[in-house]
Amino acid sequence: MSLNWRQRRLAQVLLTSCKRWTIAELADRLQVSPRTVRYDLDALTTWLKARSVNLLRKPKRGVWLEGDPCALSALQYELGPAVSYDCSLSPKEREQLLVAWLLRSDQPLTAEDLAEKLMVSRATVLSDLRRAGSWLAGRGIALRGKPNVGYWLACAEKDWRRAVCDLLAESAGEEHLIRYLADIGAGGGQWRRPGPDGVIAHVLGLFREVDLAGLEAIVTEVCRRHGLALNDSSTVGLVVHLALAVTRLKQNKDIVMPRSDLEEIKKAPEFRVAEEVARAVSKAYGLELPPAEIGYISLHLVGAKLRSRRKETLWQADKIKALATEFIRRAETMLGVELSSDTQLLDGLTIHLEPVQSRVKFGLPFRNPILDEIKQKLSFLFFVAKQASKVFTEAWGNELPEEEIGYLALHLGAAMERLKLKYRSQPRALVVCSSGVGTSQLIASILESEIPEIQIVGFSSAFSLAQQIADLHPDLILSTVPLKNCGVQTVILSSIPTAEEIQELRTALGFGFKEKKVGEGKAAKKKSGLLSRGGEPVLSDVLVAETVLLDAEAKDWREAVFLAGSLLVKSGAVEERFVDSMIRAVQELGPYIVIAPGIAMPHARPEDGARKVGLSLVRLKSPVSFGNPANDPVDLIIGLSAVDSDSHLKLLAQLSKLLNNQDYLRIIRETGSKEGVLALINRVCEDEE
Amino acid sequence: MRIVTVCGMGFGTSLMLKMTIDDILKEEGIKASTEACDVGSAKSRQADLVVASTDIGKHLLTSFRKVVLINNLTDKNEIRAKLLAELPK
Repeated sequence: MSLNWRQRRLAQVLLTSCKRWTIAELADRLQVSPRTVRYDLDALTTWLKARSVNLLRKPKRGVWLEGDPCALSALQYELGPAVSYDCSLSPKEREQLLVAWLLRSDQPLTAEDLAEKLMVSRATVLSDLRRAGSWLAGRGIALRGKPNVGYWLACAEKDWRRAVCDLLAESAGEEHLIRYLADIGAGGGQWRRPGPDGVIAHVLGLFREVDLAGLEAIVTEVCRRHGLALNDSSTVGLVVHLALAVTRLKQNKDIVMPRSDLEEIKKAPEFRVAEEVARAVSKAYGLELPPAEIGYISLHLVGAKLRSRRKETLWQADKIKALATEFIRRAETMLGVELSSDTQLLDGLTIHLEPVQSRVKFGLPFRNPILDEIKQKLSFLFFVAKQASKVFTEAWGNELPEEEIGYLALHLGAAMERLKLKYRSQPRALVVCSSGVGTSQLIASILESEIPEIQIVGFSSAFSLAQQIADLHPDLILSTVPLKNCGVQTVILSSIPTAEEIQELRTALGFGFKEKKVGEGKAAKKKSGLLSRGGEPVLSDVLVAETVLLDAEAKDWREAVFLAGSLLVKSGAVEERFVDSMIRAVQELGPYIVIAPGIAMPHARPEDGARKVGLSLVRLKSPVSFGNPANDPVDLIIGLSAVDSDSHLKLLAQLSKLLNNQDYLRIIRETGSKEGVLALINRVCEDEE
Repeated sequence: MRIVTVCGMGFGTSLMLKMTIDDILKEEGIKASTEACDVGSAKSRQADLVVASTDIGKHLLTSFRKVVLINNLTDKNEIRAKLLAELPK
């Protein structure tokens, strides 16, 4: 059974408001008769029941919906945004719809038809078509038009498929698609069910003959057998690709691949996996997949981002490792730090680079949703990565797109963070200077004020260096003269270091920009008012060894919240009933406690059994879903207990500072030990003092 | 100008939001009063602008003229952009 538009609208009205409606109010809101509302409610009751949502109708109390937050959120997702019926489509949405229709249609479409479908004027459609045309042209597709015939597309199969993928990604977003597949995997039904409104439904309409869940099962099964662990976005990419291949082969439109490319890809171990996928697909659909299709499946597999290292050896592993080593060497020179001994960096890069190689060589499309952020926040590392990436350009012939360089910068960033952790305790620096004592003293005083994080343990000339190293065991050597490798990380400075040099040195040592001096910090503290309250607990008072739990296992959000709550109970901050209230709050008020991507902050009211202000932090081994489409899945749970509405303000302020900082978050997510997390928390608190 | 931030209980996310908004207002040199409250009592408040997480805020759309919905409550930039778009220039 499916709903008509009126019933859908009724469902949306009930879903988006928490009030209890009378039939008369609903009739008024929807501009229909009370009788119609009653009939529609009858129909809706069964439809909602199938989605685990109860429609309650009580005399004198009204009509409302009840259900698990996940079910309600799934429902909202399925019904689409409530506003879509009340306002017209945006120009961008019209453009995407036009593209979707043109891609789907075998027949020319006339401007009049399109105008009617979009409910806009002919002139508007013509201007929308111009924009659609330039979008298509950017993908090598020509939009042709002829008077009295209409509009159609002229394109190669490869470009057609790429355009469909791009359109899906643009209109729905990768996360949306992942969610779809996850829904199917969880037995949530088919894409064919009354889907979300808007462009995506029209694009997905392409796949109406294909069982996406079945394809997903094939991909997962074959990859599992070969020890390939694809990440979600690569799985979706491949499933969409297979769905397109099946659909198009049925229409006798197969894809071609240049012979030389095909010969090369046949050498990759992924080709055999692809053959197996192709066999399973052929069997399921009674179609023969030509070699070019298998070639493209292999490309997808080679270009996939892996969740972990696979068992068999990488394709051309040695070559790639050599390139990675050279990349690190060049970055090292520019950054002035020692990264070669960081095996995590080399291994990580080697795994990362294999698919990069295929993507760059074959020009596969690749998205980097955080590129702008990387360029903005890690501008220096991005620059370094870009320069050092020339080693790949030299080897593969094609320049790396910025999307790829962004990820290389992230790898470097992670290595710098590891260095920073290594130096969390004050590194001992030895200053080497070949000229007189005056210069050494000058350098020492500049360093002491500009890089207070390091401790200067002594001075040495280049000749007595070996002896000094043996005596003082420095972690770091700062020298004004080039030195032979002495086994200790060495940075070369000019005799009077400039501000730029100091900043480079800070970056290289992993300290980032200089923190405020103690005095400045205090002044700021007085001004802000919030922080000047005395006697309030700070983050490092409440987030301690017993309230932090790393890599815990939870099968759903309830267990995750329970874990965070139990830590609060254990630390004596709350009574046991508080934990039930935390869970109930999510059930009643929805997954709003998921405050940021991947982060939930469950809490309850002071009167639900809070004894004192407290926080707990749980890092999950595998993330869980709270039913919050924007910020799922969640891997960090922060339990909060408050006794009134202001004694925990300072804590919250520090907490937002911690969570606001992507570098800090990365440490919390990636550090191997609880000590790492606690050290970070202490640091955040110290920063304020 | 009166800004009310809302969350389920008035102790957690609404306070975080309020503090972030206070910061932003100060940085932008805008004068406005801010207050945090829970979703139950929100509807009885007078407010020129309501700021809340998307999950909570959608319950308030019918009760207030201007509701700003925030997806990532720790992202000051998102809050800043959405807040400034709603404030009179």
